[in-house]
Amino acid sequence: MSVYLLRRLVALLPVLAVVGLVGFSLVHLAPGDPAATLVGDDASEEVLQQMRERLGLDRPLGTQFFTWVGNAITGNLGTSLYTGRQVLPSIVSRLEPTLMLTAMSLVVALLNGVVAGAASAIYRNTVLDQAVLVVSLFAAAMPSFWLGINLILLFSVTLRLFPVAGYVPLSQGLLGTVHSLMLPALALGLSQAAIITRMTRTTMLEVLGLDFVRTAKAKGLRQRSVIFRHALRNALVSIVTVVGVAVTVLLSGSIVVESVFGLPGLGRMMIEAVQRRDYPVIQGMLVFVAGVNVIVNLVVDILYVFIDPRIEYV
Amino acid sequence: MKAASSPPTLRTTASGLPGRAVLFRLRLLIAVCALACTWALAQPPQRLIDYAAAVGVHPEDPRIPNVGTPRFGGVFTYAHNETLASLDAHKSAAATTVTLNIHFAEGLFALDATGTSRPDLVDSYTVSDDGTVYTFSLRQGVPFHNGEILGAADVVASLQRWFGGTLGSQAARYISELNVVDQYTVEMVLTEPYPFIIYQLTVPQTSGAYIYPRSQIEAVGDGTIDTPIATGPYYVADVREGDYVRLVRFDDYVGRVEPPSGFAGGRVAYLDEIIIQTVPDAIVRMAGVETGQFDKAHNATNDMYSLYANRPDIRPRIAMGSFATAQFNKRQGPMTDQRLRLAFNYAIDVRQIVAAAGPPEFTEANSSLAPRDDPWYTPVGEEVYLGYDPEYARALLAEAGYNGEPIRWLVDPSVASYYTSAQVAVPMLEAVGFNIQLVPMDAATLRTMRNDETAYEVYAQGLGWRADPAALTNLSDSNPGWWVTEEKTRILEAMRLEQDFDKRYALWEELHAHMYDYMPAVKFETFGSLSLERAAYSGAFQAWAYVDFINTWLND
Repeated sequence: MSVYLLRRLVALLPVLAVVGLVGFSLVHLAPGDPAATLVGDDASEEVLQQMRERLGLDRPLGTQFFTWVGNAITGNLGTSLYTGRQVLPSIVSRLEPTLMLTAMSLVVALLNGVVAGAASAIYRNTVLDQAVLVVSLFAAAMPSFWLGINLILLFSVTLRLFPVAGYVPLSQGLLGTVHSLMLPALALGLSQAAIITRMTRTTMLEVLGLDFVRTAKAKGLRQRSVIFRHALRNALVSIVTVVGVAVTVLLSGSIVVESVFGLPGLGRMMIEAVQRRDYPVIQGMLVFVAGVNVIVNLVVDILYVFIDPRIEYV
Repeated sequence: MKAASSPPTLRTTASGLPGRAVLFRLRLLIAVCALACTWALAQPPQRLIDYAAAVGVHPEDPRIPNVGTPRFGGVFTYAHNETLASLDAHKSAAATTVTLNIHFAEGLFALDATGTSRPDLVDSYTVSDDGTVYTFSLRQGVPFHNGEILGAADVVASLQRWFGGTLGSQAARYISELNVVDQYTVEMVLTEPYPFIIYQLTVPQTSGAYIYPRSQIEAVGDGTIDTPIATGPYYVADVREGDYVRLVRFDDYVGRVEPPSGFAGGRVAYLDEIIIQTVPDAIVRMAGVETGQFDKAHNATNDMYSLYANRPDIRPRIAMGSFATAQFNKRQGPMTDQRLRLAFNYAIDVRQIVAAAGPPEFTEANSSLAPRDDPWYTPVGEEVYLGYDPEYARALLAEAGYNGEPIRWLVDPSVASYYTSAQVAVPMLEAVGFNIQLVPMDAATLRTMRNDETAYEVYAQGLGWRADPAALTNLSDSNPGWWVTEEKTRILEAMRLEQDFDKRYALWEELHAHMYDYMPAVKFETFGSLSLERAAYSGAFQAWAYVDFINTWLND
């Protein structure tokens, strides 16, 4: 297992290298000049040229790339062309809202998805199953920004239960954080819940039809025990795979929801960097997100071992 | 007969400890004391209260909603669509940077309600007879937020740093020396007479000449100042990247004692705190005003106006002063021919474009570069602007020998004002024989491509009106499209050297006549932007794309 883990972690390096190279190339191939954005519409061509020189954008692309790689190896992802702040500390400072939003969305998705999916499988072809199907299809089809705005209009404007926007950091209390993230977590989590619901239902139906479930029932085990100790546990491998994908989707998919709810997270940082052509931030974010994806996948693979003892890595 | 009273004793229990009732009273007393202390600490010092009384409030002005009686206190939250780039006004030209600096920083001069430069940190100044030496005497005893006192060295350090910025570099070319004469006197020597320099030193401006302490400038070197220290009525208390900036009243502020006028004059910080929060979505900003989470929302969508036009609790405010243009490439390609540019103008019925651009409250057919209610408005050129004549346009095309070369029109579809204009104009242009290719692209790409003379024939540009026309962006030779004529240079130089308004206005009319003859660009509609605000606050001055929450108070 430890050899396997080491191998996977070492494999992270070429992934990051490729992401760095591809990211750098794409960013610089795209038209748009960060210096022009930075100096504003009032600037003369002379000032624009001075800004390019100051930012090092007038140097050959190869030189810029190797300078960036050299710095990245030492943990220095560069300085934002727009804010003048270091990229890595900026990413770290914007990490908390995104992680908290991801965690809360995941709770929403799992609570709703697993319960609804399992219920749908157990009571298949009943009114409940049909109702779950309709609701989950509706939730999966709704764009999260549209759902978000409607949640704001209902829960914030009409019922005055939650703030319309903004984030309360953990340092000011967990309750405040949860309160500020409730609507964005619902907007983001419900569509993931729909996917988990469908996956849980399908997997549970497969498992419930297997011989060992019939044996367990024949042994006289209680229904609850058959479902939770035997069926659901065997269905978890597929569910965890979907949850792993959901985590990466939530981390990157929160771009829209963070913008709607004015959350100062990584998603908004990314979209703003793209709009401004803030090269170091885009590259830093790409490497960071790639790293997170690899690690999440690794964690999912490790979880398989705990869920299903038959799986082992050599 | 009065019974002899025994001395008061503390009622205790059998164990000798104070009883429940006594403990309750003690707790009550402590709570009352704590509340009183909190209240006393929250009150502004008497000096500020006296200052507010001496300064008074903004005089009546349609740009200022004066409601209720001024009072200290409260937290004001302004929802803005842009994420703050930086608070460093010497380095960033972003609108949020300017808006924030208005509240915590000051310059040598400030714009008054009429758009005239008035002394701010400068107490008085003199100009030598030959117009090349300016001597500024600073106000004395003005503290920075860190306790240092403003001096000439701070001004010199700030201006030298500002020279490296967008607007500063334009001013720097006229300045040969900047000297500290004594602790409160700065001497600025120009290479030639240039009275317009005072306007360029005036704030608020894009990339403005705000004064920060020399100690901070030296400490940061070439870098960006994260939390600027300045002399304004508020100081920067808290910056959360991508989220908000919190400004808190600076109790030691020393301001001017004249009545407020625009961004100049006396500046009273009635509000305890101002929070500028980034909220990218317009509907969410609107919802925040509805719920009271925000006191004011920047850039609501114009179609929301009808919802709020008659609401007692929410006030819609329209700021006119931007205009959409189609700038021609005059360096290369078919549009270098003046006849084609004129044909482009005469092919377009600008009234239809104005009607399509939005509700009548927000758009106007206006030939002038200035809004109608501005002192710089002029009708010169209106007959050409409104002179829709497809036959004449066809004749001009034939005369120029135009044979269907593609006219590439770069436009950013995310900005409705420019994109709608382009979409409405294209069929009219095609009807007279133009071969138009609309090329949609994002703002960053457009900003780059418009500098490439081989990449386009026309590009969409939106411009904001300034307090002084000589500072308009699209009038500079370097503005992409490149309007470079001797006549334009002559008029603009004369405007920069002249100080008398009437003479400058005559030159401004000459410039409009030249513009509608040479046709460097086609002007479409003048348009306004909508902001929504709670009717319970008063006093904020809003003009030339800037908003000021100094001299602003909450009534609830």
